[in-house]
Amino acid sequence: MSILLSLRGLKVAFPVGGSLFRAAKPLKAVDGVDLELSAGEALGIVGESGCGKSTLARAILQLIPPTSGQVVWLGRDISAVSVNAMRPLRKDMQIVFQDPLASLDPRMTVGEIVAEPLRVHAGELDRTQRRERVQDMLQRVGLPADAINRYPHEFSGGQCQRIGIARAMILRPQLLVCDEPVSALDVSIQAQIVNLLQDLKREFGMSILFVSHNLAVVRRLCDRVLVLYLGKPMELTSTEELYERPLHPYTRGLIAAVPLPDPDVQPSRLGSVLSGELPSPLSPPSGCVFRTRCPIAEAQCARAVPELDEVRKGHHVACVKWQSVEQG
Amino acid sequence: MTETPVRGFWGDAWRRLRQNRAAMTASVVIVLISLLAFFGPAFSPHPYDAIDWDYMAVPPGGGNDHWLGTDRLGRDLYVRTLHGVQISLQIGLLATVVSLIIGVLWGATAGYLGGRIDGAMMRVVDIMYALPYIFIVIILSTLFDRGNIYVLFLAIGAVGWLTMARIVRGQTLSLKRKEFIEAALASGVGTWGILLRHIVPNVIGPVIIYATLTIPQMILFESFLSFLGLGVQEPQASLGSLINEGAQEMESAVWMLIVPAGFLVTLLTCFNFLGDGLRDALDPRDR
Repeated sequence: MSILLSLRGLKVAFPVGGSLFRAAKPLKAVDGVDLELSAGEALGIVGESGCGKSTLARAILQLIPPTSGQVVWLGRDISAVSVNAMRPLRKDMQIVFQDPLASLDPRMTVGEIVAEPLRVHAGELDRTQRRERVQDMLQRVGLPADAINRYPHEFSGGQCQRIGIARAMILRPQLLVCDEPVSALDVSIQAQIVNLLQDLKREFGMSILFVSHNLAVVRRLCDRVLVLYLGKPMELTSTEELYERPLHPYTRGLIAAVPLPDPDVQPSRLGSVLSGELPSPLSPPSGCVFRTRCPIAEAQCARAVPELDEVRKGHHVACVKWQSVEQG
Repeated sequence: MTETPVRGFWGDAWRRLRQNRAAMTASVVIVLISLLAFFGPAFSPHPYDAIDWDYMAVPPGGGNDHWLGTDRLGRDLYVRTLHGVQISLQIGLLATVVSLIIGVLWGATAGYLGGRIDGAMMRVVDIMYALPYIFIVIILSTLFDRGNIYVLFLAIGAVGWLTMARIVRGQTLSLKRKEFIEAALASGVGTWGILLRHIVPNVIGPVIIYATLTIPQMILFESFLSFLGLGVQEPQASLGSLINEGAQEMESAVWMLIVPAGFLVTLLTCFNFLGDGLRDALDPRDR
């Protein structure tokens, strides 16, 4: 399969607390991510709140400028291209947001919202043709035909997310970035939206970058998963491998934290759930950033930053003690 | 199945405004007063600046053809008031439109671009706030002919946009962090497209409310300038200058105050009702 997107040492830092007299401190939201995404692949990015998942998604789309590193899109480094040069490329990379209602302009009808990417990138279409495309796409994502003339606030959260997906898919992009698209929705609606994304992927064959903190949803949809912690990649492997044989203590903790609908099993698992708080990203721990919460951390973990090594075929992990995780 | 008609944002707003009885009544009254002010004087035998030596300071209904009486100098009050409404409306509307356009574009640009550009643009506003506007008006009126009402539009408009720019900038700052702006960016919409298609329509609610408050403000501001001798010059009249003259005679000839004041109050009330209706019509979320 051809490589659609690759990230090389991607870093994003925000200056924090600067003033006229004091230099700002960099908050490293994304700290060195290497990744390759093939055409047609669905990759999940998981981690706790504040680990840099959403920043990573936005940096890939150049909505936030990366501090260093490269974003290579179809063989071309787009991390330094101008805003104007970026515009035509946006046709092939679209995004679905977390808050369905906030991502739709309250002053526009659903038809205008979904047609907006067409206005920018498909100027050759006239009004009727545009309307036809919009109508088709609305139907495709499961919205009623009269939705086109109504306003976003008339719809439920799940329907608004369908509108957001319709807008993202109307140009048939090669990459669809989903930034926690279901975390603001009811559980029953979540399943519908995930199914819709699955159907669209089957039909249009685009790649999906699925950012989520919900491991169950990621397992359903994704081929591979990247685990992030404080902006650093912890583990990267196929979905099956990750859930069956996690090699990073953090991944283990995340999987253990997924609630099971079984009252006999659930309480006994809580012992292995992660404890403690996420350290401040302004002053991350030395060495391995996870060591402050790691159940098996040793003195050596504070000294050197572990590399993301390929320890099995296609299974990358950034932990010096991955072998002891595998055994115990 | 019948095809539902294409309705844009403005089409919907118009439909909602038509259903608002108070706002529709107010706009009908505004239109009627405006028509009367612009065409009424032509149908009267008296020009607004002609002195009738036989009827000086006569009250309304005195059995002559001065329906609303005359002023101290024997000029027909009905025609003078209509003339005043005409001048005041022109100044109020034009100054508001000027301040609206400058203020909205300035505020939205500063708020959306942010950073140093925002800082520089808002410092300009701060400095203009700090300048006493009376000086600006005095300087402008010494540069041009005194009593030239177009200089008045310019002066009033140049002062009036500052608050509008601040209101719009504040709204824009909160809007630009919204995800729908990010969605537009991700779709490749350019800066001007985002400003004009997303930011401006979303700030229009507070802008309309403020604008309806600005029209009476501008009318009052003009009358204040007239009082200082910098505004409309005799024999021309505005509602402000007529009320001013009337107030000096209110103990002996109260109609000289009541006639122009009645027109002013009616107009301002109607503008407020219309503004209310426009706000409801332009904000679908409040329905």
